[in-house]
Amino acid sequence: MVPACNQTFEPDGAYDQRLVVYGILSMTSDTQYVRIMSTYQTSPINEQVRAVVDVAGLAGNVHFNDTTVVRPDDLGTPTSYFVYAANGFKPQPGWTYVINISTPLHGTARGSTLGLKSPDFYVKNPADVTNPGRTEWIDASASFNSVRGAFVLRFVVEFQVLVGASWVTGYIEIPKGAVFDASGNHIFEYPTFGRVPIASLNLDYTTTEIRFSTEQYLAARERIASQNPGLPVQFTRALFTLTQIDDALYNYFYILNGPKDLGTTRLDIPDYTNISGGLGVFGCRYEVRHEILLNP
Amino acid sequence: MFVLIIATKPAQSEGIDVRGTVVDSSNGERLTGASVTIEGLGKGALTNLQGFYLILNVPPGTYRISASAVGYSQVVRLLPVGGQGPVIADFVLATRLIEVEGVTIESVGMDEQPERSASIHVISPLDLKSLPPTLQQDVFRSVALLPGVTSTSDVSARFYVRGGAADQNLILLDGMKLFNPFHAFGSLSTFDPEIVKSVEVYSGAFPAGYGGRLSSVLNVTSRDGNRSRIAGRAGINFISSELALEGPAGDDIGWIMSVRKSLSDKALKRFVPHEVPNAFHDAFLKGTMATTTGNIGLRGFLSADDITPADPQQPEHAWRSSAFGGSFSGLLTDRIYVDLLASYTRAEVQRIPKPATLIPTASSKIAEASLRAEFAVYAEDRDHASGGFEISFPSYQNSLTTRAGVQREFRDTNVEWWIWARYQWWMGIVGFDLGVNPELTSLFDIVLGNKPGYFLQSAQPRLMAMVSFGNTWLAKASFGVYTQNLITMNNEDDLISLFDAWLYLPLKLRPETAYHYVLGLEGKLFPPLSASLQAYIKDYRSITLYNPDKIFPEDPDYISGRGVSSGVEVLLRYAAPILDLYGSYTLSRARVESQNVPYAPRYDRAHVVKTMGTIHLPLRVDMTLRWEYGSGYPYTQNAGYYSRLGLGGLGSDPFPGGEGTSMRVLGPKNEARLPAYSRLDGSVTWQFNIESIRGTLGLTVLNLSGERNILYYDRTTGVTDYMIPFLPSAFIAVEF
Repeated sequence: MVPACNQTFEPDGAYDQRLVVYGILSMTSDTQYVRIMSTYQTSPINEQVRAVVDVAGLAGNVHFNDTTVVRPDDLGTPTSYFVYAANGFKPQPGWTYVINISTPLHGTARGSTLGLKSPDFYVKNPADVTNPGRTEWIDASASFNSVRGAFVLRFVVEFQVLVGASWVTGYIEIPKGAVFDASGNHIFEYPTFGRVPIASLNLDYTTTEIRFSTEQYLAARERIASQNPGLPVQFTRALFTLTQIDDALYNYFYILNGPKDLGTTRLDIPDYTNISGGLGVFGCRYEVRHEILLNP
Repeated sequence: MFVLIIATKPAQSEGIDVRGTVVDSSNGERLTGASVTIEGLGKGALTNLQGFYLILNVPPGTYRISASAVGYSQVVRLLPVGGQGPVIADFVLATRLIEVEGVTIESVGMDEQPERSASIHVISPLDLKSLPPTLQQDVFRSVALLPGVTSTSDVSARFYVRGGAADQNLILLDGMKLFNPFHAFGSLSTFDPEIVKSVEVYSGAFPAGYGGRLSSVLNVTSRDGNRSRIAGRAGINFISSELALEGPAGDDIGWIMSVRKSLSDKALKRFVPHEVPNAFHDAFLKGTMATTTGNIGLRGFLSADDITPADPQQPEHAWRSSAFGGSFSGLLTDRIYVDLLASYTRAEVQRIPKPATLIPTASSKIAEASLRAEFAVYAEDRDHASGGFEISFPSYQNSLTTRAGVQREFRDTNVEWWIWARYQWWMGIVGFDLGVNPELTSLFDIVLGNKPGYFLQSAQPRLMAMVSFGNTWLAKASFGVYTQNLITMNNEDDLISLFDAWLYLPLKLRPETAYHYVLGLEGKLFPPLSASLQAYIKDYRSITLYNPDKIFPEDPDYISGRGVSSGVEVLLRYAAPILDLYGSYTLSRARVESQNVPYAPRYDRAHVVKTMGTIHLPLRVDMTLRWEYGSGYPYTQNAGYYSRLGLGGLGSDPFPGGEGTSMRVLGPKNEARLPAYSRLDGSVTWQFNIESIRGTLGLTVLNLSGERNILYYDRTTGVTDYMIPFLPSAFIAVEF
């Protein structure tokens, strides 16, 4: 029917009270965390969202208990957060896990993820890590038993600086490359997540090659030395960490870090969630580390 | 081929053809749609766009032959028909003046030609002038009075027809396609109403001969110019000044030119809530040489807009639009009439950032060269066969910066090759209009598997059946299939689009496709009162929408969705000598479905009432009131906020800390409705004569009741802007 002429304009509709769920199952840990929040109308709700949190898998339900943990906030300051946690819960590769959250005030939400199988990698020329300069590249080969999601291989060097009588430990990540900005400053490009390559011949695993520039590796070592003039510096370990995440986490991560579609004509900003009845993301990650001892 | 078969059909009876032209006595312009009848034989014909008619196979003898047209006095003459060749009978009709108790009216009645399409409205220059102007007379503002045509705001003259998007309207000026025929953010059209001979609006199920757009056709035909004497018109209003001149150049050539230039943006600022200086100008020039059966013409059109904000942060915008064409119309053989048009049209928009701002430059250019030929074959009685082809080369070049900060340039040139055939005939009281309008390159792509699609959407049948009854009544049913490959990539949710970029659909997407179904009933309830009732369904089998699930570069920007719009339109027109009343009501519903999620598009308006009344008073004073009511357009309400957490690079500690970024949660898309729109405008005009100079003085008041119709709501600042407030204005024009 014809609406009344005295209609009012209401930019704000009914408050959509939904749960906001952030859960990342770590395939290598037996302690898992889930953070539960809710949508809000005007300002963030810092109150605890009382919920019943269960993750169901083949082995049955795992109940998460509320607790408080300390983590760095967006500025890096250690801050206490109210979370739900489960101890003694190590997800199994290939199993489907369904998270169910029910609350008395904020409704229910649900999400699922499939446990990743173990990825692996090795450094092909470890001698060039311990004694860099002989070759142009440090090469690694990674294999994935779950052909999905995304991965990143990070290369971090542990070093020690003798300050007074003590060796102070520090870490520096080796960039993939560097460019100069308009002011002539270095802008380093670090490894970031990229899609796990598609398997060929219907195989259920896939491999890929990753390489780091020896030039960047040496430059990073020189930066550490130059940042500590006159102080003894020793490089102790090269830490390689391969992290694989599932598709849901990759979708979320990609949007979070700004779409970088060079070809799009689109001007809008996409959003992503895999939480049914809510927002946020529920996924899993697998992390594998190898270290190479360096000659001090 | 179809046309040639018809053309070579042997004449069914012996006789002599009678043909000629019908001309307006006041200016020598040839009249379209004039009726020429041979009394006693029941034979007759209507003049075509070039004022030409042809009556076939008239037996030898002497006849009373009459010519008449809406708004003109009938002319009857005795015509001897005999001999071998065709008999030429040209007519000159004088404008009919009606005197009613001291009131002098030039003409009444809208020139409807219902047999040409199920959903056609024809707007004459007199209709254009009879509407109260929105600051100045405007073609698109007049089109907006028609049922089924809506605009999302007072600011924008962009129009939406029967639930179709704005880029789905084919806009033609003398057959030349125009891509951006707007001034001042779309608040005015770039056509000077002074040059307009007629405006045809096909709001649905348009016949063969028109292609490339899904929703409607707006066909503006310009006048050929006064062949009797030099004449002109100069006008000034709060927005712009105009000068139109026309006259003869020799015995057979007429010319017309028009220039308009904005004067001040002070009045315009009342349309647009923020101070955005805008300057525009346009020009039109046409020369036409009359031949015995048609004409040869050249025309050119230019328009330009410049927005130059004083704000050092705001970029400047510049629009340029132009079109040029050459045409030939005339009898090719005794029975085949041809209209040829070669044209080139171009539109360009540029965003020019101020120095020291981070806003990137952007530009969009589209150009199209085309050649169009239409053949009409004259046949016995009311049979009419026509066909033709059009080959066009649309090319575009868009340069813009994406959200990722990447400068991108898209350019492409395509070929569209349309052919069409159409046959209209009557069997007693039942008439048929059958046609096909395939686009060959798209058809080839589908056949070769380059592009998904179906044969029916390539053949594009256009069908109409009519039943005539009760002398003045016509019942009609029509069906048509339409496709579109050239679309704009602006966001339909934009209130005022400053940057429309056209692009050709990627090969992997199906052409946009719509099936139109229309039922209509129209006629005269009693002599001054005519009525029309139409029901329609536009089934959008494929429309191009943003891909809501796009995340990665490999995800397509656009996907094919679906949609449907349907509605009922009622139109009443009371056209008496001193009182002209117009009223329409439209009930409509439009839905679009993307990834199985249906929603109402931004331009879906359920109820629209449009009324207008003009009373012709003594001393050549006219008073007009126009009221439009529309139920609210859809919009999406805010439903709250949430914290989108960073994941710390998903490094060694996977737990998401921090409070994240506050993100808005929106409610179901377009599920809420804005308050209803209502606007009452009034105008008083006085026509005066000072010796040979005719003048018109007008006073217009927009939004008499001061309704606060919502224009824009800024979700970030919470500021609401409103459309035109109570706004008086005046204009004066003189003609000689």
